[in-house]
Amino acid sequence: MATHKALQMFGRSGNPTLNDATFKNEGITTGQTMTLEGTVNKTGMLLALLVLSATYTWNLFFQDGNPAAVMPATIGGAIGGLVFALVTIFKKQWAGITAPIYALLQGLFLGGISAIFESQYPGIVIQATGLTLGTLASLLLLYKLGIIKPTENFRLMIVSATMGIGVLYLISFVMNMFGSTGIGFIHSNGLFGIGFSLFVVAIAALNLVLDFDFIEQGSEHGAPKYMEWFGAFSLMVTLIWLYLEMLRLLAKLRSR
Amino acid sequence: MDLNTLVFGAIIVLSLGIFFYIGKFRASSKQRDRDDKIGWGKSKFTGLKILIWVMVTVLGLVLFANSFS
Repeated sequence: MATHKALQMFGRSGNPTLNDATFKNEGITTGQTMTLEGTVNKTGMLLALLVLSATYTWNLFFQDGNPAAVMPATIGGAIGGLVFALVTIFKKQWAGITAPIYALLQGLFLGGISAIFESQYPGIVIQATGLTLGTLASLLLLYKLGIIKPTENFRLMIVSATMGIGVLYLISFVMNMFGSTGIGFIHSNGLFGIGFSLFVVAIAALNLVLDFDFIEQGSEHGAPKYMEWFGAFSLMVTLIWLYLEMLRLLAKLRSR
Repeated sequence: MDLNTLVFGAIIVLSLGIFFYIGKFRASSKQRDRDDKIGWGKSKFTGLKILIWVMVTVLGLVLFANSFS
């Protein structure tokens, strides 16, 4: 009886901060719960939507080779994507609707950006895609086998580094807006610039481990069904960031 | 089809295959049965939410300042 009560209170995990109610508190469950298979399938759907809309801006660019032709769709996709990402973060219950829209809008942005990079460095897009998905598969294997074990300290380190990078990019952006050259070294193709890009790629990749753990524990503790969309969205955000950083890193290396 | 496309194309197909196959299985017991697992009681985006609000506020201020310069 005592064992049963303990199981009810803490679930299968020994961690008292993560009990069966943690994910259920996200909203009212409809009986169906989050599963690994459902999350993987939804990630596949989001990836397909992203590729579909990316193809549109990609083709638009290569039809006349003019970057100005894709700018409205690319910038619109970036801003729209940011808006829908914010909505999804603050309203997880809406993820089933907002995450696919986010993927479509980000596809427009990535298609345009990728086409511009491809026109400057032929073959760079397939390299960046291969490296991004290769990293995803490798880290998933390492996570599933228990070789990488995310802990609270690990999360603290990765979240702090991610926020630090965000602040650095923000300062650089603001300085650019006021006519300054910004924080030059982070955009340069010198040793510091490449080192910084490698660091950012590593942090973006390690964010994937946090996503895997979030999805794994969500499905283990019976999170509501809509958390499958949220988990897939979370994975997409990290993958898109990793892909963009891979593009930047490869472009720096090719421009030397 | 050049070598670059062949090699990286193969990596893409293989990686997607691994993700869609392995992703559906639960992690090993070594991963699941630990006492130092992350407590996801707090959203992983809590820190990000704060950062986003700071970014939006700063960007708003920059745009506001720029419109008067």
